[in-house]
Amino acid sequence: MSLHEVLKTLHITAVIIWIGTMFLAPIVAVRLADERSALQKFRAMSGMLMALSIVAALGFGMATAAFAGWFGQPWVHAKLALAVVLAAIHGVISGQLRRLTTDPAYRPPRWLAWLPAAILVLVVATVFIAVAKPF
Amino acid sequence: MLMLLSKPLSRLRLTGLLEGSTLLILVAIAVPLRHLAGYPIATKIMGPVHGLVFTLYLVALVDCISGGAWTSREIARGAIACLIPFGTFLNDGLIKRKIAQAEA
Repeated sequence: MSLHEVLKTLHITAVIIWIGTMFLAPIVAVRLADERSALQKFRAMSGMLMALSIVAALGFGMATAAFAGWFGQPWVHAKLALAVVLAAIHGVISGQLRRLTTDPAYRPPRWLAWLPAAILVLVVATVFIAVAKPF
Repeated sequence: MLMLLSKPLSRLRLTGLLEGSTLLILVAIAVPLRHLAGYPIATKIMGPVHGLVFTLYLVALVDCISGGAWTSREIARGAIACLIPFGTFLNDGLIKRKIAQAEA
């Protein structure tokens, strides 16, 4: 197994954990909006998973692209742009979970329920770019 | 260190200072090494490192904004700070004030 394959394997594994947790978090936040202690436990678990997996996903992703000499190719920049948008959504979810668990009067905004759909669209686009390398 | 990382504003401050440092290293050392001394390896290493830290700063910034209590002006300052050299160092005072407010 080459170094490239090792880095790519670790990148994909971290991405699966990151996106899986991030996809689930808004759904749980909306469904458990009236059970704040359960939401607090979920936040503690998911926050740690999301934080570790985003660092690993980005770190191994950058290392994979750097060792393969992919930087400079348009598809890599397109994939990076989508990854930055996904990272921003990570921040939104993290902030909303904290607000829901620290402010009893705060209700989940309606758009929070739509975030998994946005994540799904972004992930499909990112995977397509990574697999097809269309440009 | 773990205590520092557990608070969103402290995470923002730490990633901001790291982002500013990596941007300075990239612009002031790696880019001249590449173009003036013929060492492209410098940008090949520092480019992805800065990209990683920039994204983590963005996550920390959006996390704080999404958590509430940020004015439009503060959001604009945080967003612009990471795009210009020394920006996050200049913005550090605002983050320190917000940390002091949160702890008061």
